[in-house]
Amino acid sequence: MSSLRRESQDEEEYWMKSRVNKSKFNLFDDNVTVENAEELAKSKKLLTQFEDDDVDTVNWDDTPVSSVTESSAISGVTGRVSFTPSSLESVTPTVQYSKSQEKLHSLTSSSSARSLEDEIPSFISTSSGSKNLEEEIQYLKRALKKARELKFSPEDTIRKMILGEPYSLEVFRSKEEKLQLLDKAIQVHDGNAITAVILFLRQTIKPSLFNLELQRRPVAINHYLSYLRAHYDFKELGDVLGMLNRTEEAAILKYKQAISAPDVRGKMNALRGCLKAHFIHEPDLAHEANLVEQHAALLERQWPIEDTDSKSEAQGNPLFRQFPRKVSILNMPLITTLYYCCFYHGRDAENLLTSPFAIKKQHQLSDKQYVWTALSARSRLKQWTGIEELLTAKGWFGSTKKVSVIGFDKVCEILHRTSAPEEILSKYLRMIDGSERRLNIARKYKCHEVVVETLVYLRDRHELQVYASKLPPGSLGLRNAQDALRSSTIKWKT
Amino acid sequence: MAAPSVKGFPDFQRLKILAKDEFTSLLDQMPGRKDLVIDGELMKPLDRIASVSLLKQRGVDKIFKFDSSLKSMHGCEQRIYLVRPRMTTMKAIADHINSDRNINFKRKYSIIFVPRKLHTCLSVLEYEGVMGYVTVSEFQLDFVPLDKDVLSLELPEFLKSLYLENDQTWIHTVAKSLVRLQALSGEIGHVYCIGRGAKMVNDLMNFLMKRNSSEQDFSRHEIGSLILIDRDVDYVTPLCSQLTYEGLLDETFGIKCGTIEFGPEVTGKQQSAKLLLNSDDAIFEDVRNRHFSNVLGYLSSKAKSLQQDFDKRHGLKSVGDMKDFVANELRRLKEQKSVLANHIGACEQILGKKTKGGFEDYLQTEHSLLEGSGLRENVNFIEELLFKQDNMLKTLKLICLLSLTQNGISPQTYKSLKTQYLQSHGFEQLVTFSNLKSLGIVTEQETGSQAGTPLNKVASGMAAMTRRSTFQSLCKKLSLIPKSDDIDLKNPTDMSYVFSGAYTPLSCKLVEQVLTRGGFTGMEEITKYLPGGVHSENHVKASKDHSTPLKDKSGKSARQDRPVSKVVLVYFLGGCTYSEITALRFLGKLKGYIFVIATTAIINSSTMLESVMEKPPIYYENNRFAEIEFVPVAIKARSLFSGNSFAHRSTECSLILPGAGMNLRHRGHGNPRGGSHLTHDVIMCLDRQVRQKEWEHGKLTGLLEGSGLGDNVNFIEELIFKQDNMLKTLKLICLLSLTQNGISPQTYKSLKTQYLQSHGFEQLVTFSNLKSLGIVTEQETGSQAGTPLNKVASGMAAMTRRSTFQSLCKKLSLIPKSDDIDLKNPTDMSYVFSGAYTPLSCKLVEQVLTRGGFTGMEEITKYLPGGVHSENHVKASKDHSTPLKDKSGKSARQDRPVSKVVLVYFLGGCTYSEITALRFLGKLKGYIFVIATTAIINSSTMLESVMEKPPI
Repeated sequence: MSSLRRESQDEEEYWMKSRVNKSKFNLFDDNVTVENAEELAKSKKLLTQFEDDDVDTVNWDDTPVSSVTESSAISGVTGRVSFTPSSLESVTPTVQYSKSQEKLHSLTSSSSARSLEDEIPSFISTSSGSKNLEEEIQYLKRALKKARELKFSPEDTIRKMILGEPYSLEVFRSKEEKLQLLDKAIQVHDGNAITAVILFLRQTIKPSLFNLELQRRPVAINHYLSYLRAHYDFKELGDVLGMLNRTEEAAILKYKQAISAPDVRGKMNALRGCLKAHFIHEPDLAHEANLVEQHAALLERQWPIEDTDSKSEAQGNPLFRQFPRKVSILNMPLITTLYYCCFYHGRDAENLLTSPFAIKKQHQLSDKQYVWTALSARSRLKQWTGIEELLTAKGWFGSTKKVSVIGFDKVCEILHRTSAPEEILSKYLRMIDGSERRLNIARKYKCHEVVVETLVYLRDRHELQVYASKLPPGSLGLRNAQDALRSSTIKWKT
Repeated sequence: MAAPSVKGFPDFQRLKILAKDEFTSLLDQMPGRKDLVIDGELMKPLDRIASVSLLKQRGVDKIFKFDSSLKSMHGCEQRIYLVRPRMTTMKAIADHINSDRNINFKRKYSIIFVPRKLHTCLSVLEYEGVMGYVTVSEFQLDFVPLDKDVLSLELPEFLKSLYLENDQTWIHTVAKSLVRLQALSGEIGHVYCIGRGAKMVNDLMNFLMKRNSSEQDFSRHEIGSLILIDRDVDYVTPLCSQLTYEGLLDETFGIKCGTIEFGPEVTGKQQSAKLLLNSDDAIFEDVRNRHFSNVLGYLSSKAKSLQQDFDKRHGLKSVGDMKDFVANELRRLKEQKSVLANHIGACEQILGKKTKGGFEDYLQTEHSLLEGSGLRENVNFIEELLFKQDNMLKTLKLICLLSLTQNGISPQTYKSLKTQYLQSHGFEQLVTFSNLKSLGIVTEQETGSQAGTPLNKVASGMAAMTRRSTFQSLCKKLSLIPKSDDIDLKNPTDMSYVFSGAYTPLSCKLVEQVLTRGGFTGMEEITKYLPGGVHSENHVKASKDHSTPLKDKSGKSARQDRPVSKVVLVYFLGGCTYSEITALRFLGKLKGYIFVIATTAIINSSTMLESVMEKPPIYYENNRFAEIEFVPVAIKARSLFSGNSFAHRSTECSLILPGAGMNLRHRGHGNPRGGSHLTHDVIMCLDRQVRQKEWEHGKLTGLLEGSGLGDNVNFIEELIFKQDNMLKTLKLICLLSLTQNGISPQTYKSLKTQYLQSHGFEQLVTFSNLKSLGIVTEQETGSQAGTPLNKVASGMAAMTRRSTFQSLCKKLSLIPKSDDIDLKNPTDMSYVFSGAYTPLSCKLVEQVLTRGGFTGMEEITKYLPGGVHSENHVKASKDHSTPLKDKSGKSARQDRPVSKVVLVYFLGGCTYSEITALRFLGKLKGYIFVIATTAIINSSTMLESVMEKPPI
């Protein structure tokens, strides 16, 4: 009996401890830290052991007669004690037990006041005693039968899920069984089963445990994330990604949400907020941070431009009447915006939002990007002098020369595309380095004058003759070709 | 077994027939007229299975295309939804149903999931509360036979789902399709898996199949081997520009489920033409696998010969011949002519598009990327496309190829290309780059890893990196890039002809290798570069493996020249391109194999990239709005899971929340004899209050009697000023409110404020709880005099009760008139409270027993919330008479008839005082009371249980 006492004392110590725990934090609080969770898990384990022992030894539902007599024989407490295993199933009632026990101890000393805790260890000791081996076997047999009737194994359940047969997850109450379910589902690679079990877990165990177990199973994590995505549950999705330290994904998610804002003003604010919260402080996302910053800056530029220009268009500004705006500039890509500004606001001062040069500067556009776009716009506007300015660089001592960062072949390509007059096209064709290249490109754009010139330069009389034969009669190119062919000053290649 | 198949191909028409039968029986499950609402992406596959006339025949009235943006739909009384299992779809269907119910339109709904129902979908239906109105079934449509050698699941989302999100939901569909196929064609003896998903499919397939271990004659089965290939093993091939006719048709016009639609620009007529592209079209069959350079010439020669056939009609001699020609030949020729015209028109379109867009330069760049040469020029070319804001998909393809062939892009180039891409095509594409990074398609080289393999990366990333760093090694080891430039595109000798001889598709080359070597042995040098590894299984007994089948029975001789081992099913997970199909067909012809190609979907570079791009280009504006619409859905659906469990918990916690109050009231119903629980509120406080009376100079009696209100309030305030025991004070406040029909607003506010100031503002919660319980309430302004009229029913009842505590006292004479109660020899239950008050609950018990029910108690019971109820299970004759059947030996009982034993059950607890009072009552009136209760309480425990923080 003394050993029993000690056991019960231990028990009591344990309960005291658990009460201390309770005063520290709320059991059901979602914000329980991992350490706490582990501690909790341990104590939960203890509890389950306790529970299991109890259920193992005294099966009140199945064996009312034998167990009652058994208990009364040993402890002297009559069967009147109303005690069912179910009352121990949750934490709270057990804690209350210890309370009542204290009171009973202090108030009474009679044997009838012996609290239930005193009896429980004695049950354990009976069952572990070898005398009742047969009874134990009987009990185990019954338990097995009951288990068979009640539920299927995790394997069976997963099989049913995969085959599309009816199943029930609710019969799995212990965390271990639930995790077995999950592991089995992962093992057979059925996403539907995996997701179903995960959602069941989420519903039935507290978040800290759920997260802990999920983190141990990357496949499960992926399915959970996939589910959250399909569920548009972005809040939880962001949290989980954050928990997993997948900062980049989390940041991109937030960005995605930010850009889904329907109105531009909301989007600007959302972008700024998202930039501050998720990008700026992540060294790995420095580049992305820069891009998001640019996105926000772009919207902040487009907003007032659109505002002014739509008004100006409504008031009948001749520029917009001549070239009506097809769509609003809002939400257009940066290069399109640059083109727009080059087109409608090409001459604006740099301190204005509409200045193409200001855009170039703010977004650190390369010269190539800038020239290409500006050139296209000016060519479309037929601002030939403008193009000349764009391609003129200041040389030494105030001299000027024609320079193109994108190469004059590309300049010609753009001019051709925007249907520049032959005269202008020829001018720039002549600036292409390399006579063979120039010849090819001139041929491609059917710029006969330059072709003839180049062929003459190459002193290729045969080619010139062939080319001349294809030229339409009376054209300038044909005349030039004929002049050249007639000329005696040219030393033709042999 | 089956009808003799075409040229050794297994007959897949059976699959169609099976699917058709399954579908018709599903339609028949809802007899009568019904509407059919079909998911857009199932339209084309269903078209291949069932005709409109069949549907009409089965009672389908109207056919709608499912539109998730519609909040409601019209139609007849029965409706069938045929949909893919998606949560958003479920939400939309639920909206339809709910809007019908809102206008009281009764309709029967059936949802048929293709190919299976998912847990998440059912959850949404359940959550939206429509599960009761729908019947749910599955239509296991997996393979849609597109041609004699092509089977497709038509599941383009597989790629994104498995490789981007690592979601294995569709693995089941792939495995199931194989199980069903093998049920028809016999088990497949050899299985080779290349990649991660392939292995998973194989595992799940084995799990589902329960292989028959007994000897099987595999030679009689129709398919010898199965090769499963993951798309992520080879992303390069689908990104290359297709150059075969069929591939170009797909890239230019888009082939959907084996059909193509030519617009007026191709047909040259007003209307567009729909064409079924398969081997039944003789002209198409001739050109589909050709390199494009070799198509137009063939078509024009065909046109000439057709013209000659036409011209025959001039040479017709007799009228009979003429008649014959018109009846047979003419129709065929006319059909051929129109088909030919369409193909020629299509060729013209393709040519036109390709020459306009600078296709040659593009192709050159692509090929030099594959070769790994001229890196600088290639990057320049890509940049130029960006300056020009050229087609965003085209540009992205090159960026992908650059990264895939070069083991990622060097950090500097990566940043600059990405930045410029976003600047040209919108910053939204940041998301696309993030997706491509996750897929391992566009990656940034680790700094310092350009020379060697990166070491410190996660396992999966590691494998991916290794693979890509070694695209060139794979090219070399498998000689994917042919050495000679002079490939005869007309009479090809090598699979690489599908890409103009520039590149042999990696996936097809792997298939060739596996078949040639009979497995992966000796391929270690190659397989080590493949992510996800390889796996092979052999279910055929070794003895039968390579020998010709011995058991062949007579009549099967036709098969002998094409042994089953030559029939190979190649299954692409994540989709395959027409070029790959063509390459395999060519390989089959070359090596004598019969290839059957199965795939989750037929893809091309554009559809593949679009499926993983966040916003499909151009339309992204619209899509964005579509997405927003679903956000509330998300929010709603989210609480689906968390909400449930919370509600559950709250009922357990009981007492605190209104739900608990409901429980209590409910219990009141079922307990006619125990008195209504609500009176407890009063009594429990009383119990303690009596003792206080002695201590606190009798102030409390005033409360019960309803006298000296001002004094009482003053007394309470005094206690508060003193910061006297908070429970004690609270009890008085409770009593004040209960006896006075709530506290007048002014007093209530002042008492509450003072209480909070004295005992902590946390007690605000307690007041809120007490208000919910109806213990401490504030009187409605203007209702002090009479009964409040405009309150909700339950609140009404509560008010009524409290407003009439005094009435109850009067009617039941709870407050004894005389002050001289002999506490030593009591004559009345009120002695438990020093004769100041008789417990209402006990009084009710007494009344019920005396009257034998509630008759005549209407004046009293009307004040009791929750009402009363009684049931009599004893037959009337036996009720009041003494038991007749009493046997001998039971005489001891006769002087205490059973009707005198009364069980009083207190729901929500009772006090010792009540027990004592009942004991006294029993002694007085000869009853034997047994008291049952949920718990024994006193004023402190009762209040503590509903207080937020127990007092210190």
